[in-house]
Amino acid sequence: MILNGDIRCASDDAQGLLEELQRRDKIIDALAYQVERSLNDQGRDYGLLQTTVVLEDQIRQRTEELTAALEALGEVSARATAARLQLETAVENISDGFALFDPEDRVLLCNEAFRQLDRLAGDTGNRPLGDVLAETAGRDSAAGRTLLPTLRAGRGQDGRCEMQLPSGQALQIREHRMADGCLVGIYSDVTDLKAEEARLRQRELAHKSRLLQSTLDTIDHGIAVFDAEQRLVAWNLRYFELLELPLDLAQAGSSLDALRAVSRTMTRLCPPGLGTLARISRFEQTLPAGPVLELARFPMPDGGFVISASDITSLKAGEERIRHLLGQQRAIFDNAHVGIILADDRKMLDVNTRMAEIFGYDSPAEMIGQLTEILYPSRQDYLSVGGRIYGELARSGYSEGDTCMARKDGSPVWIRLSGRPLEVSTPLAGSIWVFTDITPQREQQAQLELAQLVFNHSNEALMVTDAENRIESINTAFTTITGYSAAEAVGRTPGMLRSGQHDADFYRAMWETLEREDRWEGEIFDRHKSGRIYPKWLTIRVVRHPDRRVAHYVAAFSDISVRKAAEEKIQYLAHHDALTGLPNRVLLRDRFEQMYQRVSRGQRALAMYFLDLDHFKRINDTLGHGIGDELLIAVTRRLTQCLRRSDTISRLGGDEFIILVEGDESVRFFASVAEKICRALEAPFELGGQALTSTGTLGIAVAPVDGTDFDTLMKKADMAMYHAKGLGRGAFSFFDVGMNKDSADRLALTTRLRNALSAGELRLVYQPQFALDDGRMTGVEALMRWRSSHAGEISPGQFIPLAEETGLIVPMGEWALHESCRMARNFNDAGHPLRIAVNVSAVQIHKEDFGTTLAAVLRDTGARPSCIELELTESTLMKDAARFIDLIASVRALGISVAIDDFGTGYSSLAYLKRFQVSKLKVDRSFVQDITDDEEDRAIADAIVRMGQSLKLRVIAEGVETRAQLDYLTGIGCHEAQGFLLSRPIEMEALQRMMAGGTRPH
Amino acid sequence: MIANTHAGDGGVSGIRIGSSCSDDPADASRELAAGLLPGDGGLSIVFASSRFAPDALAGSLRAAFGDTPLIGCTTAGEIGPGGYHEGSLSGAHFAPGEIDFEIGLLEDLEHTDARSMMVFAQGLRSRLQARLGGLDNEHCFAFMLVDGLSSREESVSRAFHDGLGGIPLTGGSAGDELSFTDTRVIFGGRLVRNAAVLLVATSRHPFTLFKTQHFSPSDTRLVVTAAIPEKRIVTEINGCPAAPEYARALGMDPAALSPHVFAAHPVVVRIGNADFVRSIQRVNPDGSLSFFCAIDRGIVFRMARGEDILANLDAALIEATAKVGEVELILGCDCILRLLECRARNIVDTVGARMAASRVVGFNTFGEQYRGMHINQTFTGIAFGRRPAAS
Repeated sequence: MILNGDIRCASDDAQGLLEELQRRDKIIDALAYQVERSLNDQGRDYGLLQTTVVLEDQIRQRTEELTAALEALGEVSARATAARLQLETAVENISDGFALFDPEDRVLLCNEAFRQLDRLAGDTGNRPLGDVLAETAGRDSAAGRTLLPTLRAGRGQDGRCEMQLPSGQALQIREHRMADGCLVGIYSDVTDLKAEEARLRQRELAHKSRLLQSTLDTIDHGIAVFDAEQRLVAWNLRYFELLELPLDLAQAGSSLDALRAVSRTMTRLCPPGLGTLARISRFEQTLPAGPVLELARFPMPDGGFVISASDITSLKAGEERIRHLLGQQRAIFDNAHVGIILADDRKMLDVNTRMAEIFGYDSPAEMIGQLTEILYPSRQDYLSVGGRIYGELARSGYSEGDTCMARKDGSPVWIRLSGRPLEVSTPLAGSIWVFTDITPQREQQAQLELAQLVFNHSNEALMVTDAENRIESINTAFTTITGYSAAEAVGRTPGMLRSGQHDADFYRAMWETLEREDRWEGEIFDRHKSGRIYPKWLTIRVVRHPDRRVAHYVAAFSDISVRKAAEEKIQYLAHHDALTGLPNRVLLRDRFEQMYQRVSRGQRALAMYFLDLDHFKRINDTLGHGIGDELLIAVTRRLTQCLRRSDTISRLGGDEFIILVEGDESVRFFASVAEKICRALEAPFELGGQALTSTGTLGIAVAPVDGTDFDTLMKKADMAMYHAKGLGRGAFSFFDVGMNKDSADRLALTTRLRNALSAGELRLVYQPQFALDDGRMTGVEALMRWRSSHAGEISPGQFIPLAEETGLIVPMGEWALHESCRMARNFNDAGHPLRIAVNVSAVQIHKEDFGTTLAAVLRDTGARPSCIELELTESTLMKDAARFIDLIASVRALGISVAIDDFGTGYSSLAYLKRFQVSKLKVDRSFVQDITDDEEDRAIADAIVRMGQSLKLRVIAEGVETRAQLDYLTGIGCHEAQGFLLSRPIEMEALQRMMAGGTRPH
Repeated sequence: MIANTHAGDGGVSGIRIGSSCSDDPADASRELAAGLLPGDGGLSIVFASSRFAPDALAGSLRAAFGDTPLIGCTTAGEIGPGGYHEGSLSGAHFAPGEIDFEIGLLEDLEHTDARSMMVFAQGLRSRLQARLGGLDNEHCFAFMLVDGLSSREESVSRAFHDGLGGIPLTGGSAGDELSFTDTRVIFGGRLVRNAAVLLVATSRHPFTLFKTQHFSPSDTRLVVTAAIPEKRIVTEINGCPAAPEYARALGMDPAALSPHVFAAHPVVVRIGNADFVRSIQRVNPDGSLSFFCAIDRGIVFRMARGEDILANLDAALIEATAKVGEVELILGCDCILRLLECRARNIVDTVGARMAASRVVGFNTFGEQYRGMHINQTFTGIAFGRRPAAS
């Protein structure tokens, strides 16, 4: 701290503090002043001191640096000097002359050896060497001619040259001009070296000469070398041996003449006068079985010649053997059954006979030398196939494949081509190729393929099975028709297609025919994979092995559903009216015959109705044919609705219809049908936005009464129709007058019955029922009676059926029910509760609202349900048993009990019987009637009673008229009885009196 | 009294030293000359006590030394063969063979600018160079003596240093004991005020220039907040009057300030990486402090701590000896304040003996110069070895 941390006054001394601050300010100012001063301010002595110090520092530093640099420099210098010294010493010590010249050829540096040379070359002083040498060269003119130019040219080149010095020494000069223009040269005295070289050459020569001689002596050839003067200069003993020459001539200088003199062979080989440059070669066999010599004479460049002789006996024998072998090979080659070529660079060097055969050439010679291009159909093939096969050769050393090639005449030939190179590394150079003609196979192959194609694409389904009838192959059409793919079919038998429509006989017959005739053809129904049955026309043929064994079964079929459908359609059209779809006359006739056969067998009747629409023509004319057609269709619909399915409706044409109805012999039935028809047509038709009336007039002829054949009946029906038309439109008329009458009567009755209810002509009578055990009255059955104002009492047997047929039974039944309930109520109220059983007809209970109606009646009358019992016939119930279970249950739920009437006459299902929850069974009167006489009736009644007992049902027998009957029934345990014996049906008043009086009816 | 020491080897030639304690100027001069044997053309250097009357001394010297080149100055004390003396003359003489030299006197320092001073020094150097046909700075030295009351020592020493072109320079400021009234340089037979004397020479003998001081800075800092630099007067320190503040820093009564105190407690400034002692001359009546060297407003002193002066001097002398071999002569400039300190410590004789043993011939100065810097409380010197340098 600059002020050593002292504050020179008390901390509470304000003035002192102020002074202190001022003091410090002075210090700060002074320091600032100093800081701002430049060192070099003029006139500041202190500044001088500062700068001097700084300068001194700098100088000292620089001096140190300089000293260090100088030292370093000194070191470098010393090293350089040392190196230079080293170099100079080295240079000095080399034995060759060394000199460094400046660009002006003045010596910069040289060694002692160089200086020596200089002296040898002459006094150099300080002259450029070039001059010195030039002088040297100048002195020796020979050297000067050659050496001087060489020297000048060579000066500074990077080469060597040699020159002879006057002293006789050889000087080798190597000079090199450097980048800076200086020249460095090495000058070597090679005199000794040269002498050494010469000596070495001599030795070399001598050595060679010895080598040559020993070679000559070693080889098997005989060699003799003669110089230009025909003197022997070199030879080997073998020569003398082979030519059987005397050894004394085996010396240098022996003349050719001398040799010729002793050897005829020599004379023959080198006859006198032979030119020096002649080249001879000949064979000599002095003895037939003796050795064979090959002799030759070669000229030599120096005018001499060399004779060589060799024993080629074994060589010749070898040649012979090879020739023989080659011959054999050739035979094989030529006679091979495949074509063989030796190719080189795609040229056929050699071709065998078979090759020419395959390709349709006259001889192999025609092919030899040609490119293999001639074998190909096109140049394109030649190149592309060539690329492939040679590529294979190169890659795997082997090529094999089938190619289509071309014969000489251009026809195609399929070849299996295989090849190998002679040398794996160079496949293109030298390869052997084998050609096998596979054309027949290929054709066969092609045919097979074609057959396969045809097989596959045939429209007909084709199936080939083996001898065990297992499917081997199928075509596409098979799959289309049967739905089974090849995977699904192959291996299985055709049995999988069976529809099940044909019986075993059918298939058996098929197989027998196949066995016998090897074929079968016919229509058969099979099953599609989806389950659909379809018809097909199937042809099967048997293919046998040569030994008659079955090889295959070949089946062809086509789906004839369409055809059949078409046929059916035609048939249909032939038999039906186009507009309405109703059978036409053709079919009608057929139907008639069928129906008539049926009714005549069953002793029933067949009615033919001839229907003519009233006013049709007028409608057609006024409203158009369109409306007319619609009307016909509507009429058809209505007719169909009111007739049974077994009835036949047909349209003859125009507005005429024929209807055939089967029935029992009653006129009533046929009349009711006619009524139904007429009523059906009465209602207006809504067509084209209008309401049209078109009633129909019917004429009826009944077979067998009116006739037995179609035409007769039709004629009569027609006549009846016209009669009906006369009666007025919308009416019907039988041909038979009687029938007409009947129907008319019926009609009248129906009308009256219709009114009967509203006219109050109906009333109920009551037949009491008694318990057999105690004879008390258990209840009454309510029965309907009609007192017609016209006809008096009309029996129920007459009007009930009519009511049921006309549907009048419904209101009548309801009335009966209502009345019964009312009576029951009255009796109850009067203190004489009585159970009343009411008959309910099938028509009533078939109505949906029966249950509701019943309930409503109960409500209205206030009758106690337990006083009411419904009687339903067994046949009615069992006709639709299931339906009525619920109904009866609902009736029971209301509290009303149910009894089965006419039990034993219908087809009871005992199971349903249980479920019906009925309370009572009424044994039909038919069983009671002969109960005393007929064992069976007795058995039945018995059974019924027992059943009733078992099922806890009350059994009541109806129609009890004799005591015996009553006794019997009592005996078997029947609960109740009803009948004339006990009481006839009584009027309401009588019943009332009875109940009141408590008198028991007798 | 002649305190004659042996002359250099070889008898008459060499470097000779001597002193005289006579208080009569004529006697003293004669005695000294008898010891130095001038007159052979060499160089004589004389250090004279300020007690001698200048004119009388001038005449005596002229008579004794004749036309022998003579340089010297008045002193605040003399150093000679007998160690520290007062009221005496001490001196040295270089025989011609020992030295080649040029000497010069620069008068009227007050009105001479730095450039002229430099030219003066340069001139001497050139003359010597011309005579010798080439100068090697390594083998040259320069010695200066300057009026210690001129307040021009910084300028003079720097200018001479620049003018000498690398020749190492050392020297001292003439003193007058503790009078601080009349200090003179001696040149030929003249005692001159407001002047400087410069010697430029080369010698056969090995020589080395050196300086040494024994102070190190303490932590106490003082800032000069007001000063009169041209008069070397510090008027304010730390914003307070200088002398009291200085005393306060020392924990002394300002009235107790004396040269002894100054000697014991100089201040040190840091310039660059070096510390320089700034010595206080006296307290002025107005409470300002006069310094022996340049000061400036805003410079920062530190109070200095004195180490062992004797050990320090010994180390320097030993080092010098190591450099030049056996010492023949040391021309020494020793600050008066060092003498005062020795006095205070009673080691004057001990130190003096050291000086004598090293053949120091010199004086107590009012400041020292070394390589262009004017410094205080330092001992500077040139040590000459006996054997000539190898060729």
